[in-house]
Amino acid sequence: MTTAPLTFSRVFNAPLALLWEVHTSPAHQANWLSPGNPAGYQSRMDFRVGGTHLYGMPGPDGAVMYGRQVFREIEPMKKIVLVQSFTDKDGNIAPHPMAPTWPREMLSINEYEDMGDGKSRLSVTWQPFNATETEEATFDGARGGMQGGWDHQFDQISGYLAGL
Amino acid sequence: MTDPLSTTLAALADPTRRAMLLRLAEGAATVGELGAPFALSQPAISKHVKVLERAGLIRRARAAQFRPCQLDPAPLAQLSDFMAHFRAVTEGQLDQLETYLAALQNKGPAR
Repeated sequence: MTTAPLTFSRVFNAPLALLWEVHTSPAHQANWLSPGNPAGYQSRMDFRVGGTHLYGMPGPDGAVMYGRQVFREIEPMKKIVLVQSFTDKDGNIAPHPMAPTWPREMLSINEYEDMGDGKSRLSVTWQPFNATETEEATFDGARGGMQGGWDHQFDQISGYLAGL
Repeated sequence: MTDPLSTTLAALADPTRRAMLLRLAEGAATVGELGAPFALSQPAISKHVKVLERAGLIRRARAAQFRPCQLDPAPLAQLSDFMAHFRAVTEGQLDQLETYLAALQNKGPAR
């Protein structure tokens, strides 16, 4: 089974060098990943090919979401390929608390592009990595929900739910 | 696949089944009524209905003569929670990054 990737992309009103720095440095990450509580952001970053980033992000309810990134490729201001997982507080891979069959490992390709005029684009592409069939099916379903064009239909059904 | 969320997602991954659910959002319908808009064989229609039923998305009255189908919103509510969470995490992080970049440069957002 070949699973199609899920892509998120955005153009920022910031030069490429700044986007790269802010997206990859833990000191900046604390500010944008945990804006309400930057001091609560935990990070142990070894930013090199083969290196690992262990992080903990405080959620709105105070519970910390732990995760791990293992870097496979780093091309400064161009591209990062990493394997992303949710973990327990000790950095061991753990299932997503809300979706136990969500892929335990996700290959994430981050691409950074100069758009000129002081703008830059970040594109993030996710694909299940070493996934079981069940994990691929879960990812496929969620991708369909995000990008398969049935958001609107889903909203209609949700509208029905709200009216119950 | 035993995880309820995966079962719901798999059931929703098909446009015919999503159209059937939308029809049911308007009220109960028989399998015949559900299949009417589609150029599909009776067995194909039944198969779609069975997938939705197994996913707990529809209920069928066992005793009733025509066994009309009814939407069961419980699995959709669970999926809705997960999707909201997922979207909040992915899009929310891009929003936060945008806000932070704007603040750093003392500029407004690009869009």
